[in-house]
Amino acid sequence: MLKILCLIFLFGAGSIYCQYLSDDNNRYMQGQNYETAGYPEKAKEIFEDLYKRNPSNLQYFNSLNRIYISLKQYDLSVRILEEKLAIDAQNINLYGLLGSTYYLMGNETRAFSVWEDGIKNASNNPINYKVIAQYAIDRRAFEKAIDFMKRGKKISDNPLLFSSDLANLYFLTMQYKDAAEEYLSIILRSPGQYLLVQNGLLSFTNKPDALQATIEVFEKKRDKDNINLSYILASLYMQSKSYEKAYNVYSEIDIKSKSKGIELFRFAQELYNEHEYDFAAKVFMDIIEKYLSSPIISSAKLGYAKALEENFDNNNNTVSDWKPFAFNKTADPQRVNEIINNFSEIVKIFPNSESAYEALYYIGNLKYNRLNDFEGAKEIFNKLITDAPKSQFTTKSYEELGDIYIQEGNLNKSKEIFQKLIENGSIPESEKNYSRYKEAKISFYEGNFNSGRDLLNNVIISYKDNNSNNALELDLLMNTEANDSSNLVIFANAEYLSEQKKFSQARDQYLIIAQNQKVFVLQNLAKLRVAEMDIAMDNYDSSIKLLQEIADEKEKNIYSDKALYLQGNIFQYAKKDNNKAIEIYENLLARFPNSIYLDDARASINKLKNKIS
Amino acid sequence: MLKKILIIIIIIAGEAFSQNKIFIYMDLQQTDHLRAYGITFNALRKGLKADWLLNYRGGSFLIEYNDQVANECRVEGVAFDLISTSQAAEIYSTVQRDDNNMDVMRLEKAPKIAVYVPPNFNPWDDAVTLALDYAKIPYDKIWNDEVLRGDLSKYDWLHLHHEDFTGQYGKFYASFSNAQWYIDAQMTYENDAKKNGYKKVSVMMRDVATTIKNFVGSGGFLFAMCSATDSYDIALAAHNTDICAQMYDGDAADPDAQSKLDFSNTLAFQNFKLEMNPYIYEYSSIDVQPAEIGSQENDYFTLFEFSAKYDPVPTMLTQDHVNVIKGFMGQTTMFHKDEIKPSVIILAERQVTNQVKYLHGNYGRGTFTFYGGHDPEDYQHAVGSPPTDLSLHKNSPGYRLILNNILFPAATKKKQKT
Repeated sequence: MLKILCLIFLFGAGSIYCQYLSDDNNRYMQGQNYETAGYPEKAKEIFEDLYKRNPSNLQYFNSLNRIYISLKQYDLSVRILEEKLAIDAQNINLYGLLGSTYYLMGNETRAFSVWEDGIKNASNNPINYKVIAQYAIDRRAFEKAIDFMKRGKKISDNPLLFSSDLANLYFLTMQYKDAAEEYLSIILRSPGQYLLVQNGLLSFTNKPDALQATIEVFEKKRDKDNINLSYILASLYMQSKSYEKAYNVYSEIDIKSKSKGIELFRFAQELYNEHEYDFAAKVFMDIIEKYLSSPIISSAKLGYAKALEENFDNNNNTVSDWKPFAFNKTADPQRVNEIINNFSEIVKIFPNSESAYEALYYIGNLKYNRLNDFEGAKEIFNKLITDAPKSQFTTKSYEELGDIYIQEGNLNKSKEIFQKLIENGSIPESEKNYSRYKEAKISFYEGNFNSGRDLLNNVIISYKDNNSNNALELDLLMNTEANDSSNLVIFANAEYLSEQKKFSQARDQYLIIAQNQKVFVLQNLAKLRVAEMDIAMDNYDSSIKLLQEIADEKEKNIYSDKALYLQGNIFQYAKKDNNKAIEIYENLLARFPNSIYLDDARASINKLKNKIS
Repeated sequence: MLKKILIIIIIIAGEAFSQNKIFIYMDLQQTDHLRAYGITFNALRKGLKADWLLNYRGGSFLIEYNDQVANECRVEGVAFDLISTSQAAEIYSTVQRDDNNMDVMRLEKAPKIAVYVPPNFNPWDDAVTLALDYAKIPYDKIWNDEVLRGDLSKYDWLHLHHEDFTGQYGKFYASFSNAQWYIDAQMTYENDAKKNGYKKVSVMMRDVATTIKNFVGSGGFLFAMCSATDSYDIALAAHNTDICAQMYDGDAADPDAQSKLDFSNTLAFQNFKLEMNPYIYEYSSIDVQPAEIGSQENDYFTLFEFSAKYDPVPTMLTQDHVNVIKGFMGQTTMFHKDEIKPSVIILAERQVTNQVKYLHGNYGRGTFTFYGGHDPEDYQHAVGSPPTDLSLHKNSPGYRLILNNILFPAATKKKQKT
């Protein structure tokens, strides 16, 4: 019986105790709910009660301290923290919390002294420094946190534990050189941390002065055996656009890692992507010379040829772009042939590949546009068309061929080529329209105005097509002057000659029309063309005079605004007389407020004024 | 022979006298409304006199003839007519007729402009800076150091960049606390506060707001956009309390902050409710929420029409070539009408709603103008959005409202008609 009674008693007591515990948990949750719902006073009441009844419960203690802080009742926070410290004087977190409360009270001196007391308790334990530093960071007392971290690092067997945090703190406080020193110490002691260091550095090297400071730090500790350190230094050089230095470091990496040019190739690709073609070509060439048996040699050769081509284009394109008509941009044949040879090598290395066709297209283009070698270009384009009828470069080759035949005076052959493109079912409509426009132009040159207009009809209705404007212009000319076909034939012939770059002969033909008072629209255009032919042949004084005459005709000549604009161009680009150019552009703005050349004239004025100032 | 020479002289003189005003019309015929303000502003800087013809052809400008100004108009693409004195007299007579709601406002001296921006700001983050740069109107950039050391007295007009005067860093914490730009911005503010002897950024910002208020009180012109409007007034209202949560200033906000707000200290707003949740990207109930606006297609605001002869200031501020303008959002998009002080003049609102876009008021000897939204030509300008290219929005009516504010301080004060 007694046994049974005992069991009942134990069961009852247990049950009451459990209920008691469960009741505390419910109350605690209620307190939390009050806290999050914005009733801190009610939450405080509950937490105080719970803490009073169970002072050893860490959860209740933390919640109570938190609510005191949020209610700014710092004295109460200090009181419970000091009570706790009296019992548990070795608890570093209590020092951290107490210091934080003093810091929030605005008593920084007391806060720092409490944190120091915490560290003193176990000053040979580096982790304590880290813990207290974290409290300082939470209060955004970064300089104090740096001090703790530095001291912890000093006594630690593993200083790397502190370096990353220190680097972050230095970065936050904009002490970039010190941040770089910390990252450097990481990579020197633990090269495997390469990515951490790389990412850490990337976060601040875009700040003013940070990049140079970082480079100086890494240069001082240069260790060629530490490849990861070299990688970082090279990427810093890339960031600062010190390509020569980056190149030297990548060369060393390449040798050290026995990469057979792969590291250098990556570097060259990066340069190419940054549009640093000159330097990229140099690096590609270095790979080709040093690593003939490397697996990336073919890619290096293609990269080299493309970099040369890009660089060549950059240096040669702008000279005569402002001219309405100009001779082909011929260039030093030796230099062009050097580029062609590089492309040719690619054709040999990758026969029957798209890269080879691309290289062939480049070769044909260079022969046509840079060397005026029509026969050579035709041979290349024909080979491409025959070998690779489905290549993306085939249509372009056809178009180039068609243009070459026009220049050679073989209009029938040219027409045949453009007709082939029009009939080709697999090419896009815009490409077909281009061919239609070109064929219409050929018809115009031949004096077949009706068939020319028929061809243009298809292009004109394609409003979104880039060719439709050109088509409209040509159609207008043929329509307006349809009743005076004899003069139109002369004009068409002059246009044909100008397309063939026979500017002197074209000028003579234009002049016939220009002097004919009876053909109003054609006469105006012919006058302008005479001046444009003079520009093409660099006869600037003569063209200035003619353009002035046209401009003076004002509304009698629909090209008078264009004449002024071209005059401004001559002074800007050919005569290099910027003040005169500005004067003419301003004159254009004043006299022709509705001209389509206003925006260009304004842009030129602003550009030239900036240059002068 | 002498007779011929005399005739030529008379013709030349006649030509010269007949073209002695540059008339920059601002209606739909204008090719570049925004640069027209720059031309007028820079003409004033050259010492030329200009007249603002309120409500005449979209609020046109009449500037005394000067070759350089005419040339600038052409280069900048600003359409204008050269008119004779008699033509000008005719315009003046039309404008001043009692039955026309028009008036002439003489502009005499270009105001000295300051733009309040933090050092790490991007020009495209601020519509006013974009507009000033585009219109080629010169300005100085100032920040807390300059404001606190009293440099505002050097300026007539102050613009507040998209800014947070409450010290809560734009309340971007929830979305961007780990973003580098947020971390950098917080450090910049904290360092600046430390440099100026403040323990908290929020306290420094409150003092900055108060200094700016004093600038207005002593005759300055204040123009604020986006979050600089409501956050500015909130900072003024909260001068006796702490509204910043722990992640913003290190300690908790005052739980009774709402009841401690002092609305008598604000410029434009009253009786608003603070948004105390630090994770919610909103300062208070002043701002109109996207859900209240609905779809972009229906977001337009309407300019009020004021009597040019009796209310010249609001008339100047609302000069535009259209009176219904497409809306645009911002951290602060529009203001709830019921939280605006009765003394404040409403310049533009969304019709049939309680949403106010543009307002103006007086404080002391100066004035303030608040314009909701971030960028009039970018409906939802977000963090990291590319800059708006104003050469594609030369005729932006929304941007015109900004530039009205630049010129209105140049106007000669007239006696109020009674």
